[in-house]
Amino acid sequence: MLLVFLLPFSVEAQISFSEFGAGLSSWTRLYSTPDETILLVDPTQGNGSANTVLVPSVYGKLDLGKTFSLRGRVGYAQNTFQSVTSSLGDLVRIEKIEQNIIPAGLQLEYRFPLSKSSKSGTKADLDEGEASEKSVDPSSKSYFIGGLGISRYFIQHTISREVIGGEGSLPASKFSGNDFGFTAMVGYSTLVSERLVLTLFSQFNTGSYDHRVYSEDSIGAFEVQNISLQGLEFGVTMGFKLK
Amino acid sequence: MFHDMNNVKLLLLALFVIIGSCVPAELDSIQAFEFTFPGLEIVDPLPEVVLTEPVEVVETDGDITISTEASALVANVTAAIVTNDITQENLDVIQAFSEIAPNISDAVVIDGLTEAVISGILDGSIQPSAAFLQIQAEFKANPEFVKYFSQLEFPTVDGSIPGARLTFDKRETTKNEFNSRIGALVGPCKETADEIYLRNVKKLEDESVVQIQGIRTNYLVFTSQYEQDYAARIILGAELIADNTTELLDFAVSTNKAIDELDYPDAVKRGLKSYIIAFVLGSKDQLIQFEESFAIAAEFAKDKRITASNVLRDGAILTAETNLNSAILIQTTNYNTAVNNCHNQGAGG
Repeated sequence: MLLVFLLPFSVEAQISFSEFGAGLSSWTRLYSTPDETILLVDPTQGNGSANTVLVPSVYGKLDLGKTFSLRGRVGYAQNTFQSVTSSLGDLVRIEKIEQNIIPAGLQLEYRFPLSKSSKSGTKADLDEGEASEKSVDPSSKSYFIGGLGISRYFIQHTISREVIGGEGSLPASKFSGNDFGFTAMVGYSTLVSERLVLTLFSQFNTGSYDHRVYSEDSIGAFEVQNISLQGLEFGVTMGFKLK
Repeated sequence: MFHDMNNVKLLLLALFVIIGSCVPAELDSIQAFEFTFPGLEIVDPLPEVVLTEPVEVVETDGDITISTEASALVANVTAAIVTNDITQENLDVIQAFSEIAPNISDAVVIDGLTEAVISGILDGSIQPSAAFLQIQAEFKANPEFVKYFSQLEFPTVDGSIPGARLTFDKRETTKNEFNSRIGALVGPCKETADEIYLRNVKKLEDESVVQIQGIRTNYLVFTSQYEQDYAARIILGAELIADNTTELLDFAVSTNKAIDELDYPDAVKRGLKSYIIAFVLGSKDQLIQFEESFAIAAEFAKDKRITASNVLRDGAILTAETNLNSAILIQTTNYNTAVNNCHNQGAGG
């Protein structure tokens, strides 16, 4: 990726900021570790079960020649985990995590043209210049896309504890952290108008993050629990094609 | 604006920096829940044990005294050295004295009693002869003569004359063992209850140990004082015996000397000498009895005081232990309630 910024000006003509847009995807997290309830009272035993969140996102795309492009994407996922348990008769504990995840990723994509664009070959398009011709195949309307990338997940947990029938309630506290993961994507992109690009994609996310889990057996002691971020994402984006 | 390549590169560079700028960071979390058990969080201090001082044991020293009749008789005899005037009443008494042990010759009676013999008999260096013992026995057999001899007043303890050594049973106390733990439960709730319960019990036990140690120390002061008092009594007894011996010796020696100087018939001298022989031997017996009875009384008083102190000490300790057991029982009840609730809610709660 650094290559992008080290390119000499002589090749700048092949690189163009070609597209930006927004999208919505469904991210089904497939835990290979315990899920976030491990942080709460009465945690789920074993690996967490799959759960799905919606991820709105924005993206920008930089074409690197005719077939490669670099996509930068920032999303936002929100989830909630809660655990309720009763002990000591009337003592009820409710612990809750409100989770915010901002996945920020860079992905190198490769595209295969699948069909001719109805607008391709027009005089207007051809007059747009050499740079445009080099960044997008003017004869294609649809593409198959494959990509690999890296994501960084910025995670914020707002954790609260409410105790009914006893002491120990805690106000909501925010805790932040981050970690990395890799992505692999396949998709289908098509021009729905002269400037609008519709892309359907599926993306597999890897990665995990570490979280402290405090022990009830020994006050103050904690262990670091790794929590998986991996999951399968299906989504759609609508982009605006600049050239 | 996106046509400017430098701006585009700047935007992507910013995203790159965001993604790759810093190392991963783990998330912290809230501290684990700490169980609270209202019943176990309050540990009342153990009740104070009121310590009572042992009741005072009253001792009297006892004494060996010369009777008024003896003093009057000897005073008349001593005066008669000069006045030659022993009263007829005293002469009648002396006549009765002279008729004691007629089988023993006047020489044995009159010449046998010297100052050295008197002193030797009283200090135990000379054993009295059979003749002297016979004379003493016949004097003792006549109740009329008792008033002319030294009078032994026994030492007393709380108004009683100790007759024998007494022994006292040591009170054995058994601490109630506490064992009502509930097993086979797991989970932080039960473990937390265990921790609090054990901490509370230890706190109570520590408090009780201090309390009992204070009780022991309190009564140890009394016991130590009683031992010191006993040692002082033994010294006092020795001094009293020495004083009485001196007094009796002076009385017997001065009387014997006066008899030797009397200008009266041998019958009178024999009667008086016989009396002094019986007086000296009787006084020696009384000195021995006094020494023994004083030692017995002193030890009896000491034992009585220490026993009383120990009874109070053991009672106070028993009270402290009862208080401890009651306090632990309260904790146990609260603990059982807490743990049963843990159990009812399942492990891990």
